[in-house]
Amino acid sequence: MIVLEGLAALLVAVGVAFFIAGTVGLLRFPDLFSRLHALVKADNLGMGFIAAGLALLAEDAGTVLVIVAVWVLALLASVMVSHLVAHAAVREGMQPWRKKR
Amino acid sequence: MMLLIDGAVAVGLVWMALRALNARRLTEAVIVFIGFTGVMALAWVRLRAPDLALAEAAVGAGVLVVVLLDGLGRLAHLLGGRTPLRAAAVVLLPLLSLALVAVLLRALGDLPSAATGLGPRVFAALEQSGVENPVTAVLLNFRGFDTLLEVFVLLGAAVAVALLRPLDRALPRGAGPITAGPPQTPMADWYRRRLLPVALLVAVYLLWAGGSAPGGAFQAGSLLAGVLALGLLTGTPLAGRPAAAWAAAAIGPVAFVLAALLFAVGGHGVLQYPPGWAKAAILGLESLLTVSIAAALTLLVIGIPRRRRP
Amino acid sequence: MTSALLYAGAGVVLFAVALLALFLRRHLLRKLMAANIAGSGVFLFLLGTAADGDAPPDPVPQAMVLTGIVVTVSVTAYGVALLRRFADETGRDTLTEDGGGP
Repeated sequence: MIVLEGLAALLVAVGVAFFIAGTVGLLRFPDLFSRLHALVKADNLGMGFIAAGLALLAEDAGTVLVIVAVWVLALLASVMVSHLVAHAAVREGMQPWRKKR
Repeated sequence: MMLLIDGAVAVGLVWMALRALNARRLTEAVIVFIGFTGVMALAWVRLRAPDLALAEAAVGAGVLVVVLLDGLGRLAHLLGGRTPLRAAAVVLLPLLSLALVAVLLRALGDLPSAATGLGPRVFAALEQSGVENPVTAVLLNFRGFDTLLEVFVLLGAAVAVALLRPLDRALPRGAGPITAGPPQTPMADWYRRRLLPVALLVAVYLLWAGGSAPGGAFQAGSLLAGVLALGLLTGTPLAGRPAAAWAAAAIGPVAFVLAALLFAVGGHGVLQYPPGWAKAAILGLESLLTVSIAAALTLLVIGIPRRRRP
Repeated sequence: MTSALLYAGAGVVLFAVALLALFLRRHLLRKLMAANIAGSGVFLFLLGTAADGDAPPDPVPQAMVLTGIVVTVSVTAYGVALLRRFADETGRDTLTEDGGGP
């Protein structure tokens, strides 16, 4: 039992680390596209780790199923939203950032 | 350990509020405020109020974000004049604020313990309420009046926002109506066909779960509003039918009033469900309210879905 | 459970600082956010004092705050709409000393 709880805590901690990385990317990256990239990729992975950690502690299979469903739905929704944001930015004529020489 | 986490959340709330209130740039203030609502949801979880956490995350963080960012987009180009505040106000008001904190914290220490609340009476009567989630029981049965007035506030706000909208003109670049020109991409197409039905199913689940677990009409309604907004943005043909949207926004409040009158005429008192009918009545009303809350929130966020001009 | 009272205390501080900002900030969108934060402070105070103790939390204040959250969102959306109309008519984002008509 203690092993399971330890593993769950580890997975949640890894997930939180990904969230922090995504947030740092959101704050530090130079343009909208790279910020979206950091946010959506890192946060979704982080949420996957947290969901996995919580699923280990779930009491029955139904709860595990709900946790997995929440993760998949949030994944799809955030991908869709960032696609819309990026699409709107391209249509507005926003140029991706390039390293200045 | 838990006290440490609670302390961190409480201090975080105050710190984020101060940042949101004092940020130099307006954009920064709005973004920190959005983060603040997220931490509020955490605080609700810690205060054992998961219904509130769901509502704060969906209605608060979701709807408020769009409303504030929309406002920000339209106001960012303005350069309002700034007249300096009177020196007396700058000195005196913080002192008064500090005194307010001292008085209220003192009062907090003097409050009697929570044993005087209505909780025990709610739990004693829960069996007759028709639902198992005590918060839903209070909202839809014991204090149905509050909820009735609340849905009318929501409807009234949607009407007022719509009345204020038509004169929006001379919009700056990038601030056009967000329903204009949905992207014709495979992904938008896929959302429309595959994901929209699944999202609707989740909203129905949340409504059904509200009978016995955290969830209910408001959580389901705000989720549905988010789904509808995303649907409009991906070009789902919901736009161009303002009459249908308004009918959907009005059906819940109207049904609520009719039910209240019906029960009153039937000799049970206003909003008093006849014995044995409570579960059916609550479920029926909640379903209609979910539709109306979703419609009203969508109208608040996106405005009347207008036909695109050719 | 003293941590519930901790949240009630945070609610008090939130209310006070937001009320102060409501008076001191000039931009109307900032005033609107300050009113929102003050409301959140009131909600926290309400639930923090109600959730004190080990008994199952009192659902009545929870239902009241849930109603409050929905009303707050409605009022904020209405406020932003008013503000936008005001900005459209006057080209400004603050009220002036003389009442701020067009």
